[in-house]
Amino acid sequence: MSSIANKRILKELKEFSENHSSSDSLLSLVSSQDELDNIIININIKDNELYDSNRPFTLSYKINKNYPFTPPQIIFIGNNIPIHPHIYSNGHICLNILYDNWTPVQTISSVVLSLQSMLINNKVLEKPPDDDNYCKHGPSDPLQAKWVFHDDTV
Amino acid sequence: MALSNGIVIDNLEDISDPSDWSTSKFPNLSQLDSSLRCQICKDFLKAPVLTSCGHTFCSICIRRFISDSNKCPICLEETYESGLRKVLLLDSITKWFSNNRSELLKSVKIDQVNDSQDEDDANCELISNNIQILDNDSKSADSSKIFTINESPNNTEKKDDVLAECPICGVFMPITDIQGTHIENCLKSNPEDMKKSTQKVTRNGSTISQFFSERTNKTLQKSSSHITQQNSLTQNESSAQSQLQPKLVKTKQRLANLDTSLSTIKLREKMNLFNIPTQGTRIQMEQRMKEFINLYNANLDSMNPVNDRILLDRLQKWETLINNIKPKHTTPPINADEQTIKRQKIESKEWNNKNKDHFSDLIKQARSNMKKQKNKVKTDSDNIERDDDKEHEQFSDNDTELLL
Repeated sequence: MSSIANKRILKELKEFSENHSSSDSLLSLVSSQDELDNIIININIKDNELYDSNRPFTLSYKINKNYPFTPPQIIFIGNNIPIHPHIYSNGHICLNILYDNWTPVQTISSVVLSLQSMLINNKVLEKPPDDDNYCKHGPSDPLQAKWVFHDDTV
Repeated sequence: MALSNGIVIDNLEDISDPSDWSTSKFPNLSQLDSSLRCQICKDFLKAPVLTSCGHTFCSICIRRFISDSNKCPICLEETYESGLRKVLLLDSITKWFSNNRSELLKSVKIDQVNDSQDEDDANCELISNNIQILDNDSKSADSSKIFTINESPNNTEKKDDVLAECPICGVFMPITDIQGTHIENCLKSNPEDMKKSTQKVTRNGSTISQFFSERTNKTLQKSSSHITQQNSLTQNESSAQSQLQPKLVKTKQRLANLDTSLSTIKLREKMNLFNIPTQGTRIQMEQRMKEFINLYNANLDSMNPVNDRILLDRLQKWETLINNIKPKHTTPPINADEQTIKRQKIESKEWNNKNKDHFSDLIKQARSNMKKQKNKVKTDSDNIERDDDKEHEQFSDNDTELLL
C-alpha cells in the first residue's frame, strides 16, 4: 500500500477506535488485515423496527492504492445483508457519495454514519426493483457499475 | 492499542491525531489541532493553499485531486488549479504548531499547566495591548535600543519590567536581570555560563518578536480584505520574516497542466527538459509527468522550496510506492508474471540510477586502493583520478546552482 493511503487509514482507524471503543457502541471494528487494505465493520441498527438490533450488518471497506483520491470499495458482506431499496442482495450499495460524489474528505466514520442514517430512516422492507437482474449480470465490483441516482428520500 | 476485537496495532500510538488532546487539560485544543490539518491527508497542512471557495488543503493533496476532477472535496464547488492561492501565514502557524506539538502536549498533561498557561495568557494580553507601541519601536529599534512595555492592569509581576539590550551579549531581557547577575556573567565572558543564563531569555525574546510580527500581519490582513500585489509588498516590508519565501520562488514559473494531446515525442522532450525518466508506457509517462507537475507547483507554495533534484527523488519514491501494489482486482492473474518481470526490470534500472553516485564513489575508492597496492600502475590511476575529480567538481557546481 502506498504510504499516503497507509498513513491516512491509520489515522482514520485511530479516530474510529477512539470514538467507538465502548462496548455499547453500535459500531465496532471487527478485523483488518495486516496490510490494512480491507477493514471490516459491524453496524448495529437500534431505532428501526424493520431491522433486528441484535444482528449486526457487516460492512467491508476495501481501500486501493490511490485512496483517498479514489473511492474505496464499500459493500455489505456475510449472510446478513440489510433489505433496503438501495441495497442489492449481493451487498452492493446504491449511494452516490460512494461513487461519483466520493471526495477525499470522507472517512470510514463519515461513510458508516451515512449508511447508519440510511438504514435508520428506511420505512419499507423492500429490495431494489432491479435486484435480480443486477445480481446476475452486474459487475462484481460496485465501482465498475454505472449508477443512476434518482431517489433522494431515503 | 487494542481495538474492540483485540487486534493490536503497534504503531497506532505513534499516529498523531486530534484525539490526543482529549486526555489533556485542554481538550478543546483538539479543535485547533484538527483545523490545522488537511482534510485529505489528515496530516498537518503542508504548504497550504486556499481554493476559490475558501477551503484550505495541502498544496500537493488538492493538486492531486483537482488534476482528476475539478471540484472542491469539501463543498463540491468547481475549483481550478489556477484559482489556488498559497497562505503563508497559515503555513508558519501550522509549522509552529506541529513543531511544538509534542512539547505542548507534554506540558499540558502535567499539573504545572495552570500556572504557565496563566502566564501565557497574561503575556498575550500584554502584547495585544502593546502591539502599536512595539510596532513603532521596532521600526526605530536601531536608534533607540530600549523599548518599554506599558503597564498592564492584570499583570502584577511584570509591571515594572523594562526590556533592554545587554550591552555585552546583545540579548534583550528585563532590565532588572541585566542589573542583577547577568551582566556579571557577561563580563566574566564565560561563554558556557552566558549560554545558560541567557538561553531562557533569548527564547522569550524571540517568541515575543515572532508573536507581534504575526499579530501585525493579522491586523494588516484584517484591514485589507483584498490582498493585492502592492499590499503583499508592504506586508513583506513589515518585518514579517515568517512569511517570506526565498526569492527563487518569484523567478520560477508554475508549470501548466499537462496537455494530453501532446505527441509522445514532444512529451518525451518535455520530460527530458526536467530530467524525468521517460521509460514505460505512454500512460505511465503521462502519470509521471502529471505527478511531477503537481510536485513542482506544490513546491512553489512551500515556505522552503527544495531543488528539482529532490523533487525527482520524490517522484521516484511516489512511483515505486504506486507500483509496489499488486494489482489484485484490476488485472487477471495470467498477466501477473509478465508484469512482475517488467516491474523488476524497471526497478533494477531505477536502482542503478538512484545509486549512481554511490557506485561511482565505490569505484573511486577501489581505484585508490589499487593505487596503494600497485605502485607500478600509479601513473595511470593518477590520470583516472584526476578525471574523476573533474567530474566531481562539475557535479558539485551543479548542486550549488540548483540550491541557489
